[in-house]
Amino acid sequence: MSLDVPHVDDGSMDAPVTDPPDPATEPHDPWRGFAAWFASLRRSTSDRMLAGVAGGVAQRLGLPSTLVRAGFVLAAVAGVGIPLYLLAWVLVPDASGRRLLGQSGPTDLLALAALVLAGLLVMGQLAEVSLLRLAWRLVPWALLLTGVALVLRRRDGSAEGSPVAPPGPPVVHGPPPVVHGPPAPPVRAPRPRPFLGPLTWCVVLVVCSFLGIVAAGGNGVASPGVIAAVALLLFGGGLLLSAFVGRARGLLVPATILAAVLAGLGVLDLRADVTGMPYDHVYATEASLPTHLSSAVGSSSVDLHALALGGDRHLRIDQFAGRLTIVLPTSVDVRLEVRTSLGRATLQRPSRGSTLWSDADLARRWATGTIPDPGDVVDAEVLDGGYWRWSLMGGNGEQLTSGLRDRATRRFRNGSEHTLHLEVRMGVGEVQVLDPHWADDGQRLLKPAQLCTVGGGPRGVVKPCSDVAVANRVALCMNENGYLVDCREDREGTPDWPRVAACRGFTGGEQPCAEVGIDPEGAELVGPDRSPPDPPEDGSDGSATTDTIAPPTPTSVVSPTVASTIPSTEPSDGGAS
Amino acid sequence: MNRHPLDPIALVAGLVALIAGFTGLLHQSGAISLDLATVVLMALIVLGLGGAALVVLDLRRR
Repeated sequence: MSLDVPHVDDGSMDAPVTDPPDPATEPHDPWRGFAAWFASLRRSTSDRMLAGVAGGVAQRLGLPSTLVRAGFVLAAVAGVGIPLYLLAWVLVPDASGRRLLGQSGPTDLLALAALVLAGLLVMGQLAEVSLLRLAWRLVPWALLLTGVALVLRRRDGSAEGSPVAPPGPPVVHGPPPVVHGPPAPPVRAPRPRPFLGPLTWCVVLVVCSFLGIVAAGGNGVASPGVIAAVALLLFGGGLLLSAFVGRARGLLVPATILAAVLAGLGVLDLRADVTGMPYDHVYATEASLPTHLSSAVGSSSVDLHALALGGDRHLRIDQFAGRLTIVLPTSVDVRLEVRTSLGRATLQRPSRGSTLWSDADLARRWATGTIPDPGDVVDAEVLDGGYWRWSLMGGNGEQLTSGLRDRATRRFRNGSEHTLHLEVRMGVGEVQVLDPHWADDGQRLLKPAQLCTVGGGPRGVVKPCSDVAVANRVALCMNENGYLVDCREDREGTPDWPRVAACRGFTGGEQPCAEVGIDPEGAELVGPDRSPPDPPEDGSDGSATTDTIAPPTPTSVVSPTVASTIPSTEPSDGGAS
Repeated sequence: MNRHPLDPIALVAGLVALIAGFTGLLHQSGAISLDLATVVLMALIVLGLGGAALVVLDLRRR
C-alpha cells in the first residue's frame, strides 16, 4: 500500500507530520484527492472509544462520530471493518502528528502485530483455513514485515525509539561567541553507526522469510534445511564483506550456530525437507493413497487398515521430528522399510497384555484383524483349559530400530496378490507401526452369540439377551473349545481385552459351557474348516447392543495343529535386518 | 564504503561460513549425502585451512 503522506524530511519516520495540504488547491485528480484527504486524516484524541479512528474520520467528514462508529460496526459484521480499523490505527497519525509505527520498539511490535492481525482477518475472510496452519503461514510474513521495517528504518537513519527532533532554534550566522576559561577536552568524533551487521541481518530476514513463505505454500524446494543453509551463506557473505569494511564480527555468532546445526544434520544425514503440519490420515482406497507424505514436527498418524489395492503401490512417509503412528493394512501385503536417524521404531499388535488404544473408536478401527499370518508364529504352547498361546514374532512391542541411523525391514503377508511398499523415514522421534492382527491371543474369536451377560465381566451371568436390560448387555463370542469370551469393545484403561467373560460361573473356574449348564443358544461356531462368517449383525435384532462391537472376523485362521508344527525359529522372510 | 584494515578473522570466518553454507545447501537439497566421518573430515579440513589462512594473514600483516 502506498500512501502519499507528506512529512518532514528529517530522516526520521517518527517525525511529526506537517500540516495537511489544502485539497482545494490541489488539481482535480481522484486518487490525489483521496491521498490528500487521507493525509489530512487524524486520529482523534478527544473523541475516542478505542484508537480514535472513528472520531477522527467523523471530525474530518463533519459527521456525528456515533454514525461513523456504527458504520465501522456494520463493516466489521461484513468482515472488513476490523482490518480497516487496524490499518487506520497503524497508518493514520494522531492529532499531534505521530504515527503508531516508528515510535519505539514495543510500539512497533504492537503495530506490526496489528498489521498481522489485519492480514489474518482478511485471509480468514478469503478461505477456510485452520488457525494453526494460518499461524504457521503468518510467521514468515511477520518476519518479512519486520525485516522490511528494519530496512526502512535503517535507510532513514533513525535510531530506534529516538524522540522526534523538535524544530531547532533559528541558525545564527556570524562568528562564534568567544568563550573564556580552560580549554575543553578534545571531543571524540562520534563513531559511525555500524551498518554491515544490521544490514546483513535484514537481508537474511527478508530472504529467509521469502523462502519461508514459499515453503509454507507447500513448495518442497524451499525447505527449512535449505533456508538455514541460505542464511548461513548470507551470514558468510556478510562476514566476508566485513573483512574489508569492518564492524560485523558479531555475525560470527549466528553463523557458528547455523553451521553447528547443519553439521549436526549432516552427521545424521538428516534433511529438514518437510514443510507440512502434523496430520491424521485414513486411506481406504487406492485412488486416495498418495505416494508421499511429509510432516515437520508433531504427532501424525496414517491409518491404512482398510486399504484395498488393485496393484502394487509405494508410499513414502517422512517426518522430521515427533511421533508417527502407522496402522498397517489388513488385506494387503506390506513390505515395510523404516529408517530412523535419531530415535526408534517399534512394531506393536493388539494384545491381551498390552493396551494399544485409548478409546473405543480406535479399538473399533483396529479390531478388524484376524489370527496372524503363520509366518509370524514362532512358537505355540498349550495352556491350561485348552487354550493355545502362540508366540509371535513382533507380537508385542518389538523394537525395529534404535540408536543412531538404524534401518529395518519387515514383510507382512495378508494373502494378497498386491504389495504396499511402505518407506518410512523419521528424523528425531518415534515410529510406531501397528499391525491390527492379534498378537498373543490364540483363541478363535467367533461370531457373536445370541447371549448376553448381566453386568459383564468374567463373573457375569449368561442370560438370553431378551432378559437383560440394554444398558447391561454384553455380547459374547464363543471359541472352538466351547468357551464364551467377551467380545465387547474395549473399555478405556482395560488392558485385557478381549477377556474370558463367561462360562465360569461364580466359582471362577473355567469350564466348558456344557459342563456349566449354559446353553449358548444362537452361538455360531466358526471353525478353521469353515468359510469366514458374515459380518456381525448390528443391534437391530436385539442381540447386540450399542455398547458392543463386532468381533474380528477371521479370514485366514490357522489351526493350532498347524501352528504347533511351526519351528520355534524366526521365519526366513521376516525380522529386522 | 570506507577503507578498513583487513580483518583476517572475519575473512576466514566468512569463507568457512560460505563453504559450510554451500555444503549444507547441497546436503539439505538432497544433492549429496553426509555422515559422521564426512562431516568430521570436512570440518577438520575447512577449519584447518582457515587456521592456516589466519596464520598466513597474520604473518603478512606483521
